[in-house]
Amino acid sequence: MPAPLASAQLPATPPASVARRRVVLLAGCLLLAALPAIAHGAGQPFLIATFTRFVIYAIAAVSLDLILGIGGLTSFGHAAWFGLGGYVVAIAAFHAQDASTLLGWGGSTEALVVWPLAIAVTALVALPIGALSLRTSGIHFIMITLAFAQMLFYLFVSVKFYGGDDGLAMQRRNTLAGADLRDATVFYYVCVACLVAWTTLCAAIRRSRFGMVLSGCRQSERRLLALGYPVYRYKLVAFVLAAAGAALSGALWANAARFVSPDMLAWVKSGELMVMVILGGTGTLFGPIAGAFVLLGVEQLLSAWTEHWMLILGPLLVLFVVFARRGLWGLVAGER
Amino acid sequence: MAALLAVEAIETFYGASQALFGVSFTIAEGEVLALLGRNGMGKTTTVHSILGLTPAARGRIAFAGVPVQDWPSFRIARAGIGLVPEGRQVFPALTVRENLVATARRSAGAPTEWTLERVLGLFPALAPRQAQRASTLSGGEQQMLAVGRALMTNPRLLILDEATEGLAPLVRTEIWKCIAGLKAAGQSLLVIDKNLAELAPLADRACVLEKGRVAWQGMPDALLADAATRHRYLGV
Repeated sequence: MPAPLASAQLPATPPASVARRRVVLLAGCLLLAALPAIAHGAGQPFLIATFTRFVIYAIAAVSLDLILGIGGLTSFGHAAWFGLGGYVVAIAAFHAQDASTLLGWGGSTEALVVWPLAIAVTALVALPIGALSLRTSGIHFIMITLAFAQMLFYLFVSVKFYGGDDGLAMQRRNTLAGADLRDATVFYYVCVACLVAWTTLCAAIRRSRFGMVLSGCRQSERRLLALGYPVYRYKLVAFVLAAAGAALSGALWANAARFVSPDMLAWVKSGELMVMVILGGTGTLFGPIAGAFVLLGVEQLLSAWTEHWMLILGPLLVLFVVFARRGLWGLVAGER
Repeated sequence: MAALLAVEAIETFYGASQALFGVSFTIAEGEVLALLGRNGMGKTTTVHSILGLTPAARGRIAFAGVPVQDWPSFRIARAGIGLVPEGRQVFPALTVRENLVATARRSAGAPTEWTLERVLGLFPALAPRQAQRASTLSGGEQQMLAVGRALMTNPRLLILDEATEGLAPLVRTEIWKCIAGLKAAGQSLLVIDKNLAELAPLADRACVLEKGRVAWQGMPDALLADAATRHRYLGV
């Protein structure tokens, strides 16, 4: 006899780990909201700009976790999308400032135009690159994503018109629906809003059937094929989505620094994003936010103390990977 | 009536070595076919060739009258073939519920409509474990989950590859009961199993593979009665 419907639903009372996770998430949100006030209170308002950069990197790290942690796709070229998003914003501003045109377009400094444009252009470039890269797997996938990212890196190094090696500066930040983003606190909250929106979207994706199938891809592609799922298409959609998230992050970064350079696309940057994800906890989505804050924060503290800060950070990372394999999120929220 | 699945003279290779040498058989709608043979005789390879996981280099495979041998795996599965793979193979990091609903779909022409509620009714042991990760289940529960997952795709043909292997006797009995229930509901089945005594009463026909060829086809009762053939091809 079929079981009654009630037994087919998940238990109504959340287990302890779920409650703990909610508390940690709430505390995290409150902390993000309070950071500018804390910086002002401590008499160091310049810290707001530092925290803004942490938030921006967190967006890129969450987007990498979508494919690395959930889909099991170790992309070593994620910084390419970060850089590309930034360049779209900076190039649009460049043309708007000097009244020149690009393919008949005079550029723009309006965030509502150029940020979606950065996402769209990056997604469009990521589509064929993902389509080719995903024909491979394992070490070959790592290498091919690295190779494509390096190609884009050298492309921007060689385009002297947009600054080449020296990068491209923006005279001022984008406007958001006409409003000025010059104020550090306002811009910080815009970045936090983007982080919250993007992470919420990724969490919804993870809970959806698409997310479950993506997670199944990581565990066994053959099983999914035998169950009737075109895994290639699922992975490609995830790859493009992740690139779009990194592009948003890059667009924000261009505004934060008012400067873009090929360094944004360098393989070192891709490695840093991977470290943030691993440090925070792969496949947890929220962990990489903590990973970004801790990695960049420790880097900031150590580099003020010694220029050889890598010597200290390196062993710290090794210890962390060995003894806390579930990452910061696993330690704090007890998940996975 | 046209066969639901028609396998005609398929030849399959692993690199340079040939595993199947012209295997042919058919399964009619609502029929249960037992695919038998000792280890390494090509049973799993046959299943993988049907599903396109290890495509056949030669021969023809038709499902519901449509040639599918050149289709990608996911499309063959989508046409209505469900597989319970050898060695359970649930998705360990997904919960029981996620394992069941992630790949669920409706399929035209399936004998019955399987839903989460019906699968949990069939395997009550899974109901209280829905929020648990599949990796925390016992072997028997994982096997039930693998069967349930395949049923949730509402297949017209369900293939069970060694579904009772390595399970405790009590759990085996439960799986055999489930297979009998599926047969009674009109589900077409291709069952691979070493346990001839349990399988014979359920199967409508039997097909024995020997070194990648069909060595014997007929009624399961005839195989049970024929000690010489049994001994020669199955070693029992």
